[in-house]
Amino acid sequence: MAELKRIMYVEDEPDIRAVAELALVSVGGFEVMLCESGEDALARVDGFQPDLILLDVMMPRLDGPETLQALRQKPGLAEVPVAFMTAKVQSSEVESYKALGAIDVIAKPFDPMTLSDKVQGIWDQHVG
Amino acid sequence: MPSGGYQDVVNKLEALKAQFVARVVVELDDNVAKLHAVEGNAAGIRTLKQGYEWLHRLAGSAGTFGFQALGSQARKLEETLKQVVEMDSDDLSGLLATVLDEDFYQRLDSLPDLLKADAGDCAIPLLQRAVAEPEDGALQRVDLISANDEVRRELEQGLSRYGYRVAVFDSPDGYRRDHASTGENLAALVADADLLDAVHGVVAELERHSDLPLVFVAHDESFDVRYRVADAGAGGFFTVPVDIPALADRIQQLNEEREERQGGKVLIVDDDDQLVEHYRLVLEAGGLEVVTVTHPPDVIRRLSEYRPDIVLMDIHMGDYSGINLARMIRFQPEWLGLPIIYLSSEQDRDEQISAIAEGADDFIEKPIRDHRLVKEVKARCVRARQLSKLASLDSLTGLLKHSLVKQELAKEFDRCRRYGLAAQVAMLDLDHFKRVNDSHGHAVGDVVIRALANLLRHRLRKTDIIGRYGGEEFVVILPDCSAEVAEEILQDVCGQFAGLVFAGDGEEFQVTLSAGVASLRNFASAEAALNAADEALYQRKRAGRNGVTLYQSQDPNHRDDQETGA
Repeated sequence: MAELKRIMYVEDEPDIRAVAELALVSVGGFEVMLCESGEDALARVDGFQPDLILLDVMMPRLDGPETLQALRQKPGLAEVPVAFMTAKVQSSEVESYKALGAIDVIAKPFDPMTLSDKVQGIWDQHVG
Repeated sequence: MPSGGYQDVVNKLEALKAQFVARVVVELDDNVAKLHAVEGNAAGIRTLKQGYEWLHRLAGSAGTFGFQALGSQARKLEETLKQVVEMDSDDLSGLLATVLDEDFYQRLDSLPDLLKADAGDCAIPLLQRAVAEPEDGALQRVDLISANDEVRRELEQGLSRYGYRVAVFDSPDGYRRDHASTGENLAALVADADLLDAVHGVVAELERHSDLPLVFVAHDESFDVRYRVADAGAGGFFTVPVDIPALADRIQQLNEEREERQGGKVLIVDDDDQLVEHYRLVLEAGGLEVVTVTHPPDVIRRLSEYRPDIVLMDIHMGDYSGINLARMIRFQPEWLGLPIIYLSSEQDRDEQISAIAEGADDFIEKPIRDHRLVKEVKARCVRARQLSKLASLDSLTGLLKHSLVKQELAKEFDRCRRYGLAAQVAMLDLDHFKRVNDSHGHAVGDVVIRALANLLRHRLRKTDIIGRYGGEEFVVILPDCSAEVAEEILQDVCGQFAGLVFAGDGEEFQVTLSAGVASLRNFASAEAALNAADEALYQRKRAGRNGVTLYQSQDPNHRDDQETGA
């Protein structure tokens, strides 16, 4: 069973990045790279080699789905598990996100105290 | 939980939450006003887009911090705006009228109350800030290059007393190698004139923005050295031992000048939609901020909402004449000083001059090349800003004048009422200042006053308001700040100030400072809070000066004890 250690979190809103860092690093104990945009993620992903990528859906310029597409083009990243973070979680939308290649969708706003558990849960269910 | 434990995470979350609140309070004021300004105006589509993006961010983050009601209302508003932003309709005005209805604005206006209500529920702590943190957590930096140990030590110590973070290098090569690649928050580069050529080379090589203030120090004050320093484009020259207050003052001035040269707010009034859009794009590309009015009757309302540095106005606009509009704008005393520049194809010089005689300030002829337009408009913005600063700022210290401090205090008082936030007002007074003037003369006294003004500017945040109240008295307004934090900050300022060494008549001396602090929300009016701060200052003076006293009410039922409750 593969272990979840390194998470890349892509989010344009600095407040949420700060909370996510607390939630995933201090609470969850994961190794986390925070990216402020899709472009930022594409530039830094090779150096980090994440086990899992969490992508905000709505971002200026490259949005979540576009970032996912671009990540998939990169060598070695065709299979890396990706989950979207979004406020819009009607079941039809969840299905459409999954159709894009995401393993799951996490609802925003998230509870900082339980986000790690949720992420770990998704990992165990789909990958681990 | 791996590091720090549960309580640590909770504390950090609370701190993030407090930062969030402090920021949202400011953003709310700004964005709600901007969205109101759009009301039914198709030219406001850009503002709407910005408003939409802001609501999206707010909707996303508010819930994360436990502001559920605020987050879900922001989400609804975001969705309402989404229809407008994503629609390419020919009848945008029609669409705006249906979407931006009374209900929309009512919900928009409810946001501050929702923030307040949620904040009450979860007992938001006051913004905890480090004592010497001006803003964004980063102190302004001065880079220092000198091969001389003593010069380095003296300047580093001296400038850090003024709240600068000093990065020290012993050679231009070391600077090239080690300097943090960022020019962020860099207030000045101070270097030894012995290294002039090499420093000049490094600066050019690092492509530091050409407007970085450059100051040289030298043991040798010969004409030759000064000339070469001037030739290197330096903004200041000091001989060793360096007069630190004067150096700090020069760095401050150079930065103010640099700030004045940047940006500018322009209001364009013209009924030609396409032309207006073209000017807007050109000016924005040139780094200016632009708002446009294509429907002349909106002009007065737009002026008060946007408060531009200058107005560009066409002379002939369908049913309206620019000359009449200019005259109308001048009906209001607050716009008497606003530069109005006609932008028109009128080429008859006599006509131009008579147009100027009717209340405008200048004339720019159409057609005009884009880069010329940017230059002309920028130059006028700089001038306009300098003039309006002169009118509102104290000439010795560059701080707000008495009347404006009181205006700002009244505004802050209302803001605290509205959002249930805490803010402090402090009165500061130099101790035994008369003695300084008597023994060293008024010129030296002025140096002391300017030194305090500069120190305050650097030790406080940009959002704090600092004014010279008169003589050697200053007023400081600290928004989003508890009495305890205010005390800590001002105590620190007192300590720093007491450490400054001034030179007068071959004799060195030091001056101390007393301060009194009062919490705005413990009083029925801004005036009463200011009086209480003055009372506390008086108590401090009686208790031996050189320090800070918080106002203590004599009335046991007074709310002083609830200070940090929020």
